[in-house]
Amino acid sequence: MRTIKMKMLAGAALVLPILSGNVLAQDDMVGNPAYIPDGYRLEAIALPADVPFHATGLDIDEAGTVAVATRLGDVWILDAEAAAGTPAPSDWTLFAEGLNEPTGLMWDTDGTILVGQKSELTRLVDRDGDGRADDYLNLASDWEFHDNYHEYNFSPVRDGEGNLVGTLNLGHNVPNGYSWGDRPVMVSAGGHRGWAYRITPEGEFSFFASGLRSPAGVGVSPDGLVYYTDNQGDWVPTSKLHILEEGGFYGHPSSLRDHPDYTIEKLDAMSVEDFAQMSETPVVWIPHQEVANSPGNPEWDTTGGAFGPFEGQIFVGDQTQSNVFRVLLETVNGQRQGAVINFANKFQSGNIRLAFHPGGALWVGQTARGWGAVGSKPFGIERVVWDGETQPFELHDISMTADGFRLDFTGAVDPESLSPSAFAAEQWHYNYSDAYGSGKIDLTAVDIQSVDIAEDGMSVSIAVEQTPGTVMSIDFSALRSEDGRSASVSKVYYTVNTTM
Amino acid sequence: MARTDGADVAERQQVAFDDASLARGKAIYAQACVACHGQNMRGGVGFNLVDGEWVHGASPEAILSNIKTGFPDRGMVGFESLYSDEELQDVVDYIRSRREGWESGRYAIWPIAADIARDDFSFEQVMQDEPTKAGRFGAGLVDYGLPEMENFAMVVDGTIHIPAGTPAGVWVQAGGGGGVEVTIDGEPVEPVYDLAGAIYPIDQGVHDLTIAYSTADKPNWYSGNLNIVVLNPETGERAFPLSEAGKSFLNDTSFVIDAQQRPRVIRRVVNNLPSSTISVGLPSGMNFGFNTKSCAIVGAWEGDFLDIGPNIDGRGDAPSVPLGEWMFHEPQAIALSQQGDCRYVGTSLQDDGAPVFAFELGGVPYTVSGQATDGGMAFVYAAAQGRSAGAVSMPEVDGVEMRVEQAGAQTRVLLERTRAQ
Ligand code: HEC
Repeated sequence: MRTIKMKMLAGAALVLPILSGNVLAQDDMVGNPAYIPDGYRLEAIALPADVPFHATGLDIDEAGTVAVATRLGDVWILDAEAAAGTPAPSDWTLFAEGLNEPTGLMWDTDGTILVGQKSELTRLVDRDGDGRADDYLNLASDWEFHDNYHEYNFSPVRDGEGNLVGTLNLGHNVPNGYSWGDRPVMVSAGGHRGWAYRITPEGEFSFFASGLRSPAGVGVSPDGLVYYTDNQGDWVPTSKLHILEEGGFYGHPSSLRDHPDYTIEKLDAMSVEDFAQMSETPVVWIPHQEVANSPGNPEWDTTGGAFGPFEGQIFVGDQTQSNVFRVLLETVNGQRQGAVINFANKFQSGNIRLAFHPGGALWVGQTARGWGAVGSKPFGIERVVWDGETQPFELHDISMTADGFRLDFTGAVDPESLSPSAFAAEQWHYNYSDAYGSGKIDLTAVDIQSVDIAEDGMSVSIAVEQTPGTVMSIDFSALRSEDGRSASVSKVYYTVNTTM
Repeated sequence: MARTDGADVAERQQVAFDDASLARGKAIYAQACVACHGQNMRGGVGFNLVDGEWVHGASPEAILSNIKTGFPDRGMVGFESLYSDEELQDVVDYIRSRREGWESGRYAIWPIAADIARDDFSFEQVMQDEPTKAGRFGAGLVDYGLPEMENFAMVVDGTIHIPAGTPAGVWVQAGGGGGVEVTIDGEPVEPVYDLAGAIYPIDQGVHDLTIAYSTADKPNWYSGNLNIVVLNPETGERAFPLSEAGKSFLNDTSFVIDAQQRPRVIRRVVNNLPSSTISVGLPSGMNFGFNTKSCAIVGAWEGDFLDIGPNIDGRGDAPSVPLGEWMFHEPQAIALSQQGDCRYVGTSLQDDGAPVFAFELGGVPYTVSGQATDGGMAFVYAAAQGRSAGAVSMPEVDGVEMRVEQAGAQTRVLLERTRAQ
């Protein structure tokens, strides 16, 4: 053989792992031990036969009608009565089809459905009331879609001021894609990839925040703020949850090529430190593998107790780990921060979308195509149901105190099980860079100086030294409830952005 | 390729066929054999006749005799009472002319350092050493699971058959990196790229094909999935696999959306159509694409609409494939001559499911829809308030006649084939 020179396929970017996260995830895919609180169970929902039902858009209206967008491009509806009971495959009706890999869906208040296609945010209108959409209206398509598989449009949600909000994934292996540095990372070929956009109630469109990487989950808190999750990878040392605000830069430089204050030359001359300085701080870091690898949308439990004792808390599903975890937030020094803790795992497929049914069940939209999941099914829908009676014994909440943390439980703790050695705490931070993800940096054990239990046994305070800019894990597996139970999940991860 | 020695390559079988004989053979095949052996001869009830694997004999004489006597107890009648020996000889020629895939080949594998940079890697250098594994494969498929290591170089060479009739290219999808070098009949070949891989154009006939692959710059990443498939670079339609992974890839991906029962409207990445195009299939077998960014008709084709399989397989990094024959596609387009910024407003589905696209050009609202006509298809433009939609620009397309008719406020663009494909 003669004149063999190395050549690359489809430009430089192809030599990079295609979204390396997933492959790492596959190596890691040993699966954590099973956990779910007492009184909760998973139920698989029957789906129409022979339909690839990769559920990447999911919303439930006030009446309990379920709408699902699939990666194939369909929108399916399950009427409220069927959704409240045990749905049969024939209870689903096809509402729309032919959409470009939608990854978000929302019921609007007028009964129309908004759906985030890769290339467009679309309103679906059933003009004649026959249960099928007649009009597919272009609400927004102001970004560029370069036919790249990774260029998702995660939208929409409606914030407290009535704006529709969505996030745009960066691309991978896109011709003419820009990324900072020499490493193989996610790129933008322009057209506001890696930005968040909004449409005001008056219909005005704007791109309002940058630095997003793979922003696969957007949600709105009961007080009207937009939150989003980003997936671990380049410039995202571990997955994270942010409040998404006007003008914010969330860490990934590729998006800045469309920022009016920057040019590619200017960006190339900047340092990792420069980008670090500009970056917003997440409200929580989500430890890789232990909690999540590719989180979806944050969903608030507003079921008024119908889902058990976790009212007001945030639930998030993870596509790789096939689990659901909780986020426990508080405000310290005027800043939002808090903790993550696993809730349930062993779902059948990859959990990407969560929505609470008004009756109290947590519905989960699933896909495992292209990005493997611990759960073996390629797609599906499951729901998490509380039996309405059994009081689980779990960590209910955690809050920072002047000298440590207070841990609240859903049941009384047995004082006998309590001692400083019943807790084990560790602390670390992450390294922000263009490398793919970060390990735990400066991982150290932290002393529990003292423990104290409240009179009613429902909360335990620990004294421990806190360091801003770190994550602290607190393991309380030795604790028992008064009736002798241990928590199904006994490790919580608190992101210490600031101390009191 | 001295280094793969110990594994001989079989003699080339270059066969010269007579065109008239092939045409006669084709006609008989289409009548008498297609139901069981398939349109593309890749098998059905009967065996695959083009993969070089012969259960009952490979020589032209044996094939002829098998066709004459058939396998009455195994589902194939004998044809000797229906056709003359000369006619069946034409069928044998036609079958042999359709031969596709490897005749035989060799492979050799070398380990390489995990941290070698792409620029520091050369096949020539690696091939100085003895390969740690070498062998040959027959009329089968290359198996990239053979290296059983994460960092390696593997060189495959062999004789390959490319059937006549459609343009062909060897498509290599290296799934995220590594380096690929392809030579055909000893000459290095520059690839062209589609969204998911590199295509090395190849002529019909029998060739020496060498594919060198290494994991350099992609350490510890090899998954055994090197998809190598011969396809039609013009349509993207996949023909046959050359690697094991390519075979499962072909088996898995097909997901055909046909519009036979009702019009279909699909927004997906499609070969030869620009981003943001909405594809429409009409029950008449006419299909087209409307580009929401330019508000133009950017393609039209006749056939079974779309195979979206490649675009919903894995991460969906390959485009959907339009099935059938193009009449035209991007950069050719049909568009209103009216100047101005285009804004796509939306799609309305009629009672029969056919779409009407609404858009604004320079602030003026228009609609366009596609309709079947006796000889082809019509695009119907209308402006708001009964005004005329005005002039239309059309591409010059060989074998397709396009003309404009004004019918009241409607502007109709009629497309008809002037000759069969
Ligand atoms: C009704 C179905 C049917 C029809 C029609 C048919 N075949 Fe077959 N053919 C078969 C089956 C089944 C076999 C495999 C027999 C066996 O199991 O060994 C076969 C085998 C063959 C083989 C042997 C393949 C080998 O691997 O050795 C040849 C050659 C062949 N067919 C050619 C033809 C041709 C040419 C025609 C048309 C003139 C034709 N067949 C029509 C069903 C059919």
